Amino acid sequence: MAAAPLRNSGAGARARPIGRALALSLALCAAAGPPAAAQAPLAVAVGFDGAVRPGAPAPLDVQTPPMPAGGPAEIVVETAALVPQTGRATVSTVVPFQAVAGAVERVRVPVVIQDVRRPVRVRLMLGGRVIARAEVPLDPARIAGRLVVLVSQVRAGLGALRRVDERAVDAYVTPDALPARWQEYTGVDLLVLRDLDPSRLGEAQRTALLTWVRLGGRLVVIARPGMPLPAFLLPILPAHLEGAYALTSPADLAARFGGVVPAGPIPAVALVPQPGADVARAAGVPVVAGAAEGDGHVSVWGIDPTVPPLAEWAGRARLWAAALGAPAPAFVDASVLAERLNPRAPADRFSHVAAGFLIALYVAGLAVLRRRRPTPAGAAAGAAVAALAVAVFVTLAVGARARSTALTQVAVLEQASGAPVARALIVAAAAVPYGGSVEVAAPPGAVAAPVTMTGDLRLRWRDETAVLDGVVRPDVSWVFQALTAVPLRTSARFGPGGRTLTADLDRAGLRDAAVWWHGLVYPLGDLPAGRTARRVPDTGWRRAADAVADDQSPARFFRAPESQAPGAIAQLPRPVLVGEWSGPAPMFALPQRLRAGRAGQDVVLVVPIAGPAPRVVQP
Amino acid sequence: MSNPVLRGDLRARAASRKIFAIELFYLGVLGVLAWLGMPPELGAQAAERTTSLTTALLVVEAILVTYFASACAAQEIAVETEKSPVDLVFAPFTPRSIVAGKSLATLATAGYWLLLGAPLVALSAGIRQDSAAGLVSAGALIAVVAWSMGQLGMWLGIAIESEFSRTLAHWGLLLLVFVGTLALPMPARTINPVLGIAAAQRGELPAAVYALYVAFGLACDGAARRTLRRYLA
Repeated sequence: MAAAPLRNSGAGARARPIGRALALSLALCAAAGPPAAAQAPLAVAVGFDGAVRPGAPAPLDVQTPPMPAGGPAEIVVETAALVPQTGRATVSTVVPFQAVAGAVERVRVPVVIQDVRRPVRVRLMLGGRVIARAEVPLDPARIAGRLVVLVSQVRAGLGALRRVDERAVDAYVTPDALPARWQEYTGVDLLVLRDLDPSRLGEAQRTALLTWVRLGGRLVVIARPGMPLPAFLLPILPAHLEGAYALTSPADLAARFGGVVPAGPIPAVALVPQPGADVARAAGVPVVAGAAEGDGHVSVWGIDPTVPPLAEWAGRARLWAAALGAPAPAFVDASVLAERLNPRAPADRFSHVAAGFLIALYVAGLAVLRRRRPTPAGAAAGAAVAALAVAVFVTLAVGARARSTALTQVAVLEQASGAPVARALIVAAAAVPYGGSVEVAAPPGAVAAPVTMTGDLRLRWRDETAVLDGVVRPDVSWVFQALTAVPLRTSARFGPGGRTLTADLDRAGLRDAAVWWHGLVYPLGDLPAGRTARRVPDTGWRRAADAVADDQSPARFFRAPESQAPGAIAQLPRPVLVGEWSGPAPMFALPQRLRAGRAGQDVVLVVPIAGPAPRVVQP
Repeated sequence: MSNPVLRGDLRARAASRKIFAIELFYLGVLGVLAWLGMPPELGAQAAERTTSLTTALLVVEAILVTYFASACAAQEIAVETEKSPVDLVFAPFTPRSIVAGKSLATLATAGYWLLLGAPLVALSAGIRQDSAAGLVSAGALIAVVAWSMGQLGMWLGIAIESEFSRTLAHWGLLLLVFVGTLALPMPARTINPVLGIAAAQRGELPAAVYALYVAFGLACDGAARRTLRRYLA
């Protein structure tokens, strides 16, 4: 999986340090790389401080040596993936750029690492020739079950995480290493900002961070005495700062999180929490405030458990546990969506009839020609007709192939609570009855990756769009996914008593809408665009297990993997409104020449419902 | 075109109703195969089957072109107004120009038929994205095999007077080349035209196989000249 790469042309003079991981990787590359790499080393940093989460997009940072010449160049990143039946396959992510002689290029390429036992291979090509290469093995100790990233000048302080969750891996990074695409945070369970100089973050990095939090990310900002909170984060922070002071005996802190708080003085910053924030106090002063932001959660800590004296505090484990939260179940599973797509690509009848007609016309035309002119000149004319027919039949073949190509896809839009953004997961299946290569363009700005590998895959970036290029087998459709965020402002709320649902569906309506709540589904029918209110009685609810079995309903996309039972949607802590959305949604696209192919698409919108829970009589 | 034998044969073949019928039959078979091969066959072994459809078309093309080219050269199929080498040897033509003319006529005929079949192969190959280089390579092998078998037919036409014996020998040798070579151990088996076409399509056919058929054709060419000279002795 990869998001649009960011390049910093001519960055040699102003190249900034990109963290210890980069230096470590540079050393590894220099030691392990082939002679060519030793002559022209590539600095490669994978993941956050070398930590990656298998199957999730991870940032990959490549810094080239000074380019020996100008011209078209590209960075090729190869990651291994496991393929059923055929064994291994390679995903090649290609980022083209225009090299400038003597300049250093820095390229960020988010990649998904499926097979962590295989190293990541990176090649720098100039004019079609490899001028540098690197091979970055992945440290098994850095393969994360849960990943916590701390932005800090001090590489310490997350040691307590192992006590919270033994699968947790800590990563220490500098602000430069923060992603510029929110999708690269997908593998991160908790981001902790301690020493964040906002001036070192680009606009894209700030937007990515905000978007990730609103779409479900968990963020902790550690306020330090004398340092203001980053201004760009103020709209999402649950507290602002009042002033620094020293704690002496915060018994209430110990009472809340346990352990014996070390003797003071403990440097702290008093917080002024926003209304509704969950607050923890020390000596009566608010020092921890947390609140939901969109689908995510943001906390501000006026105490710092990453450094002494609180780094020795046993109670910090509970503080970290609260910040880390429980792993959120995947709302929809790409493999389930893929199963429900059921793409079929029969041969195109029009092409078949046209081919029959043209074959008959060709043979008959030659027969007439040779009959009327039984001479060498007639034979020469026949040869000319055959040459012309080659062009016609090749055109027919290309057209028949294009018309037989089917692209079936579904986009699931998850509206973030109270935020004008939705997370869009698009799963598409391309089927070509004749097999062969297929090229599909992901939605602009989306992170794209295969769901099922049928062979080697090439993912080439063109501006903000990733183009996937692979070879499909005639009997297997090729399934891939894209993850992106779309601006969307829909909402739903139950009125007092949970009997009346008011939904604001913005500019488009919802077909086959239903309320899902604790494994039960209440069908609402079609809802119009804009604001609408519907009564939801306590009777008339169906079991979700029955709803997901209906192949005509949008509920079919919410099955559990490899099961006929409803998936995570049945366990959500709040009711949601689900239906088929008639508004615009990002989609995969076939290249222009294949637009004649068949395309089927569904768009499912999921809107969280605020307010009291509905009253339900079990069916 | 300075060879009078070649000119005469091409003129005769262009006007021949038999050749016309052969071309219609050949294009009809290829056309039906190409059309029937259009719908994909989906199944467990579909990948292998669909890949072989173009190969199957090329194999059929090879069999038809080789048979008809060599049968015409061996006078098993008597083309109207076309003189046999034995008839021409008593005209003011040298055995060398007769054999060269007949040889080039066979090559031109095989090439022409391959060109006529090319649109139908292109339809099958284009829809399955088969490699153009592989098709050209396979086409070259078919032309070389057809020409060398035509050379063999020419020699048989000169050396064996009895029509029945000549036909028997012609069919026997064709079966030997197309079927008998399958009994050879690898890698000698790759001289089999059917296996060779599949390998050529994949770009895996050694140049030695092409060279072998060219050498065989040249050997038949030499044998035909020597046999013709006996008529003059």
